[in-house]
Amino acid sequence: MQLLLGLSTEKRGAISSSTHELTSITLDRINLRYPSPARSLKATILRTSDSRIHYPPSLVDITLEIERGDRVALIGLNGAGKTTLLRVMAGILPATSGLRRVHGSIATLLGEGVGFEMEMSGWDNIYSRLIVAGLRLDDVRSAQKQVAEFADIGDAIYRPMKTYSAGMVVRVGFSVATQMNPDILLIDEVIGAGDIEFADKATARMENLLTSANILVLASHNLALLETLCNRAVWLEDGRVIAQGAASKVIDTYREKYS
Amino acid sequence: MYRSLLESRSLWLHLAGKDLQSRFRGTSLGLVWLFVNLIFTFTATAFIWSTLFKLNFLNFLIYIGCGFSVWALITSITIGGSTSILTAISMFLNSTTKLVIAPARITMNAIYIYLISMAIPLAVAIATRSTSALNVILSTLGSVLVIICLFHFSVILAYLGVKYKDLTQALTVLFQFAWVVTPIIYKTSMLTEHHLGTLLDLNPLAWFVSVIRDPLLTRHFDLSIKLLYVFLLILINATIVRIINRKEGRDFLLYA
Repeated sequence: MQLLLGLSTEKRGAISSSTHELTSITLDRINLRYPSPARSLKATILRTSDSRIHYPPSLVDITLEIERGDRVALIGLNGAGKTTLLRVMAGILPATSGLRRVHGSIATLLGEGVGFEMEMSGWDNIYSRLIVAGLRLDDVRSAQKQVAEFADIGDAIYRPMKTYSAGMVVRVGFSVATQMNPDILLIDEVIGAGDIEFADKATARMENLLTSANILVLASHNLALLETLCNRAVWLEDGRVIAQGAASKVIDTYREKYS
Repeated sequence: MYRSLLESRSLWLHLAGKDLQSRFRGTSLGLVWLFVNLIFTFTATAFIWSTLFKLNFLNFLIYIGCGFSVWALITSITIGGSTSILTAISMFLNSTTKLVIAPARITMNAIYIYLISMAIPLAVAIATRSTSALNVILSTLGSVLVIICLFHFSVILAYLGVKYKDLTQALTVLFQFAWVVTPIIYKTSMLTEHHLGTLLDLNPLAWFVSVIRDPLLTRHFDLSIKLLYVFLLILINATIVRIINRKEGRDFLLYA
């Protein structure tokens, strides 16, 4: 469930008030290739030559320099490598080769519901996610309450998440992911959240995050929103950077190709 | 790895505790079911087998209670460890959570169950005075060393389990065989009497059971050489973990 946020155009290219002067992301000739899966015993015995799956490279020679104040749009078709690139930037996946250098604290919004333990309650999941996000134990309990209040799903917060509706998972996920104020914010296909009632709160929080983060990298198919929010764009296709530059230019070129 | 483990201890301790809770969610008795299950299993098995083999019931209750407890610890940590990263892969692919959290969580969960389960044979051993205070300490030391050894092994298996999907299946087969050649429910002397003592000497699982169980069955203090074997295994496993971590680290996630 995604809603278009009514964010003002003044936000584009806004400089953060954070004091982290050196916030930056440097990727130099980054390559990533997922290893091919093992050949099955049947294929080995029968020696079938085309049975081995060879995955194409996910990222090829990606070189990017993102500096403080940049709002970067990542565009491309499904399977272009946007999510993989975000994961490499975040340090979640290692590149096969190349150099990655990141200065500043990172928060990721790679999908609201992913990574939750569905057998555990929303309350316990919030605790886990806050610890993972690097919050100190002393601060976790108060943050846990704030997140639960923001999610606003009542006593359901104490039920196992497997009993939640998709909207409730979205509320909890968004609330947890946006609790911290990072130097670098990496977002994948997630801007809107939940139902109309939640959208206003989510919009206000996103605006706050976008102004306080030094760097934003946002992957989305919503080109109008990207033009509003971002000053730069990177167009990926089959793991390669096809174009990068001013957001309006790159997005226009991308739009021409696929309209 | 040890620093990551220490820094993230609040997370894996929390997750291990919640895993245990979720097993009995919605039940009236909760964790008590675990205790009830173990009491019934140990008592019934000890009664039948001690009758069949003409052994002392209480003594055999200690023997079999320790055996089952240690075996459950071994299989939970190893087989559970081999799938631990894959089971939580969603968490690892969407955050920079350290991979060691997965086997640590499994190990801690197994420890909680082990402590509850060992309480029964330990209580019987103390009540029947079949052991001494010093031997209880020795048995505890054995437990600590075995757990440390198994934890390191589960880290190795957790990483390899992501890369080699056949591993868990192979382990399951191996442990079916290991169950038969490890004296969990039959006396050690049954192997030695039939010239199968070599199976005991070369079976690390038999060492694990022995260093924990043997002190509880005698008042005589005897520092077993097997404690040294377990300690050496810890060093070997820790070295392998260090090599794997340095060489591959988070690269294992690419195989998920």
